[in-house]
Amino acid sequence: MTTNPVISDDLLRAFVDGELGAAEQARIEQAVSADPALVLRLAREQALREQLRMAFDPVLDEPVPARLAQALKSSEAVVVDVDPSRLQRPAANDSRGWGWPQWGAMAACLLLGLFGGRLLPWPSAEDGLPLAQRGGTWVAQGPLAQALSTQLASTQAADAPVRVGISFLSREQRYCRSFAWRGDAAGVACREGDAWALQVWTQQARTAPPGGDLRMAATPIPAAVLKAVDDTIQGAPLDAEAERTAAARGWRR
Amino acid sequence: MDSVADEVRKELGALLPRLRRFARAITRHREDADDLVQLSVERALTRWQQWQPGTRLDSWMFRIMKNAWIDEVRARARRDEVLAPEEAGEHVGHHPADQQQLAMDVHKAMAQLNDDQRLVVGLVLVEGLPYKEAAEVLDIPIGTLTSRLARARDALQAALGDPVNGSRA
Repeated sequence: MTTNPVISDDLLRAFVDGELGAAEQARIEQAVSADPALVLRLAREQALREQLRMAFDPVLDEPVPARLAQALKSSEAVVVDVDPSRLQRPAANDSRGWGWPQWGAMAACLLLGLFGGRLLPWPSAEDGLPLAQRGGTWVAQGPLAQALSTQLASTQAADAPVRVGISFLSREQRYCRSFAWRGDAAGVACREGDAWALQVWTQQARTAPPGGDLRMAATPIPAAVLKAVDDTIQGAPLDAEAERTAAARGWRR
Repeated sequence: MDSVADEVRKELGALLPRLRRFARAITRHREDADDLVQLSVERALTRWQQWQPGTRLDSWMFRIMKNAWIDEVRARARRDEVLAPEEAGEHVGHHPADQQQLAMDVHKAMAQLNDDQRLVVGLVLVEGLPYKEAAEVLDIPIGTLTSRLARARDALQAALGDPVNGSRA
């Protein structure tokens, strides 16, 4: 070894990245301890790593958007065990402008029907939709109401007419569930008394012939539904056990 | 019930925060980052058979994300960029107040890198992959990886100033 070895930037950076073998690492450590200029260069390299860490690590503590958890569940009914601590939403200082109150006030008395981008007239019973109007609110009825009350996401059949997505507690402490209906509609409903009040309902043009291979599970969840979940949810979605418990209690808090 | 598929789903769920962090490092728009994660998760679930149990699932996902980013999202991001330039700080997200400015500076500095450089920074400096692992994810020789990484570091350090001696642009 030479008496005053030149430590290149590449070598110093490999050292900072933990890429050197034990002998070479010891050589750098020794050189650093004897050379103040090298200390400064090393500090500069460590600072960059630290700056990147401080800029990007907070992403790890952000709540994972519901649509990503949903994407994981999408193609089969398999329970996904996302670490709930990762999904915790910050309790305060959520500064997004389009929060639940505005959305809720609007959605409580509106149904959103998307049909090739146009708003549809209110759906009616003649359309064969599983909805009914009750005191200015649209509520689920028939098989949809039944499924929302009793069907568990963790055990539902792959070809069930109603597919429950996630169940969660709203910021108003009501149980809510996202769902897909027969592959061309989707929505979010929250428990109000003994009914499921629709928060959002979206419907798409049927793009496959009846009996064709349009599968429920392959239906993309519309952005409006994902947004409703994101804006409504308090904390993490219920896991399979919490969902079962909530169903057993009739979805009452 | 396929236990490997279940295992992939379960581990992907646990990986989501890191996939989002990596996506944030290589994209320039916050929404693009989550779009990229979603697209990659969907791709991974259709081809989980290609993942070999016992190998690193994170590296496998990073490779899928890299390809997805190059294939699809980037083309769209370019179009969006023409129409709607991002407002400063939009990408950054929540930080403690004293870190907000730093985070914005870092995102700005990252935005000046090219895509290849952002990928190596994301893999090695943000996600902490060993050089060898990162080179395999990117399908490049280690020498190419380290030279890209060196140029990226030079550019970032030039953009961020010298925190040690306090000099800033």
